[in-house]
Amino acid sequence: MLENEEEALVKRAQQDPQAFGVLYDRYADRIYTFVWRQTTDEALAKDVTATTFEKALRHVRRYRWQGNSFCAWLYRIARNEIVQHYRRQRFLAPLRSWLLSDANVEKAVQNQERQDALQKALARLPAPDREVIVLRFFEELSSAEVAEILGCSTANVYVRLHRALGRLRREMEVGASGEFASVRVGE
Amino acid sequence: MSDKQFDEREWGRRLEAGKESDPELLLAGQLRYFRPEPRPLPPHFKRELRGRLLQQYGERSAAGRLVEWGGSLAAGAVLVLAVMVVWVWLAGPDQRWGAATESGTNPETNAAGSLPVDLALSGTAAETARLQLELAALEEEGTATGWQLLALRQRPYRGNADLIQVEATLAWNLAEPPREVSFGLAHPEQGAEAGAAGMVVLSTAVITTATGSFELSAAVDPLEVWQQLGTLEPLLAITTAQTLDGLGTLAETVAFAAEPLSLFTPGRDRLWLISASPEPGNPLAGQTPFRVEIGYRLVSAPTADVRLHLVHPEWESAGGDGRLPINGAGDVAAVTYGEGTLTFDFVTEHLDYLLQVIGDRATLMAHMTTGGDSGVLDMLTLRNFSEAQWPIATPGAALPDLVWFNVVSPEPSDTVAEGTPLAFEIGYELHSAAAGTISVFLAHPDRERFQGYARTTWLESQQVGAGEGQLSFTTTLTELPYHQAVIGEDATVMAVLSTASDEGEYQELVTATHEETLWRLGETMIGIPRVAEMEVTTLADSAGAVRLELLDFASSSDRAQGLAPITMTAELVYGLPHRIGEEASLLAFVIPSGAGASIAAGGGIVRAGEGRVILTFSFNPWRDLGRRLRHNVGYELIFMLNTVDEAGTITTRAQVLPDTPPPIFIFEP
Repeated sequence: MLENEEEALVKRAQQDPQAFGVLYDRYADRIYTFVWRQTTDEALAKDVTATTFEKALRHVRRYRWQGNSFCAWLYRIARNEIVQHYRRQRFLAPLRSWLLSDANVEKAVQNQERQDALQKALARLPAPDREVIVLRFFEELSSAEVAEILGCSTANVYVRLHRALGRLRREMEVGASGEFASVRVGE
Repeated sequence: MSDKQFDEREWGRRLEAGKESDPELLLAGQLRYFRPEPRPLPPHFKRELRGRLLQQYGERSAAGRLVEWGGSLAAGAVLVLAVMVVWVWLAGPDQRWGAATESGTNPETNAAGSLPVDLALSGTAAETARLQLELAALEEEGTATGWQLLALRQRPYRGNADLIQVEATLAWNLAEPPREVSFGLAHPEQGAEAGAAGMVVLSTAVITTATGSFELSAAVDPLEVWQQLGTLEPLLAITTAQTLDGLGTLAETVAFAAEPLSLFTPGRDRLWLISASPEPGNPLAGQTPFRVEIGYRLVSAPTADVRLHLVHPEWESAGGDGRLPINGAGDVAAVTYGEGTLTFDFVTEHLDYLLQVIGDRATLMAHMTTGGDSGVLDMLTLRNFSEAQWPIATPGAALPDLVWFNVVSPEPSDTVAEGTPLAFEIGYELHSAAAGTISVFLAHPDRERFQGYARTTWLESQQVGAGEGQLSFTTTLTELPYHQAVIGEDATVMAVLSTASDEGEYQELVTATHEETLWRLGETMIGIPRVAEMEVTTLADSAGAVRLELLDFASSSDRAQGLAPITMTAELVYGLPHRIGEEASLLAFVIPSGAGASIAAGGGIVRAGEGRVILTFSFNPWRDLGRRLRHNVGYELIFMLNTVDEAGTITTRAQVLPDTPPPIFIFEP
């Protein structure tokens, strides 16, 4: 979507429910996917998605276009909601992996064992590393949008990404060394 | 690279440009490629939430303005009334929108009248299952008529990055239904003058509503666009043809609704060595005439330059010790988008110069760049052809060990399935040890880039003695899923000459990869009908539009364990007017999410008229798809009605996708 087109749509949405409906249609699935990947809980993902758009609706009149997409703003709201949820639930452990595709923990663990090396390595990353990778590459957001969501500069996003990718690569090498040992020459 | 030395802006620039010049950037490319499929909101919930939000909006809007206007009840009432009027108007009987719907029996259309703004049609009102009305966007424009681009998206097609997935939402608001509509790509400078003939058609539909929107989703072959239009930055174009009761085209208009797309695919350019003379292994004693033939594939830019260099095989890992590429091995070759071959002729320098600049062995390196005119080269790809090496004669010095491929079978771009016989002839020179082992591996095409992550699988080994010789290897590929799991779907072959010390310590002497080989591991079965039982009942003649509707769908199991086959049964109705064709093929495709290639699950022929079809097909996920469906996966199921004209051109007349096909859960035995 072109930036000026989106800006115009957001301005209309500040006065017009139909325009807000268009924004909802465009971004509801993306926000839900993002939340589901972070929580792997369908009911929770629905709740957070609903809350995200309710908050967006509540504050859209005060939204000021600053060059980044409206979508980034929604992601930021959703991210805050996820964090708030886990704080409320007194979860001390890091967020569960977005990889798990089944709410049933036993099945999920079985499934996770069968993920390929990339997914395994991602799952082992600390939540902040995984978050920046998911936002930039899986949610297909621009680095500026990721910066907007994380509340940092674009340069800082690059530093975080570089660091996270380095950790991911090392995790993959660790995972690969055992898995492929039997097929390498002389090993 | 430590963070202290890390230049985040430069690294960010390379990241945004899709470069893969360091391990992190390479990994970034893989992450983009293997992005998991999105998970859409359940439709019921999405619609309900939408309604709730818009209701809240109205309440907030009214309340907010009441405060703003100082509690003016009259003004607030007017606003609330205005909002209600708009909603009532939108939710009212569908004279305005429903009148444009050809089929008055469409239950979705009738039901839509009870919804405030979210009308949704599927299947029956038009010949696409993805047709839906979006009143909001068009109503925003008031009386605006014509076409409007609501969203446009493009990305590499999953499983085959040579294709580009183009997705768009196009809305129309016209006085009359546009009827036959083609969506395609046209040259940006030709504009409306291009017409239908100058367009690469992506999708065709018969649309019978005056207002609506079309979800376009098509995999575009950039090479086809390049060959047909001469550009990789085309416009999205729409051709509408009004027909009059079979009398032919009444009028034709072309509308352009988008800025140019970009169909380039960063990171998928390739160079490979086809032949070199003199034969690898012959020592270079000074001024030697060379003829080198190189294959190239350019998909990330319209044009590029290819340069060839003579280098030491380890020139990249040696710094400052004289191992530098010798430029000017032949002229710079300009190439354009697509694939082709290049021939370089050059004569090597004097022996002393070769020894001083290159070292004891020479190989070839080629790179493809853009930006030569500006003086700053932008590297698209760089390839060391280390499978071809020439010793540089040094009087009294020990000769280097060498290994290279003379013959590889099957052909370089063939598909290699389980049971495929493989044959290799490998030349070698072993000088540094009394005996050695030559092993052949399947390898990831870019395995050199995986630091410490050798994506290779072993095939065969043979013992050799010191001296020169040639070996023949013949083997059969087994355990295909295992190879796919380690390497991926594309593989080349690699030979390693190694030896063991007296203490049994392994030592790798020299490695050669056959760059020309790029096998596809496992069968791809796009478009080939496999197993199907089809029962067709012709009901009546069809005089209307082409249509295909899915009435019922069932899967034998949503949690197939182990090797159990999955059987799917679909009940469809179709309408095929005689003016479209006397027969059409009805096909069902199962496309694993993220895996790219589809299984053509099967199909058959239907005759012109209206009919009911029971289609039953089965497949064994583990046997048929190997690793692709080894885990819990999502997939798409698509039914298509295709016609073939006399020229053999296949046209999809209608397609339908179940909204939520049952998940397949498969666990390895």
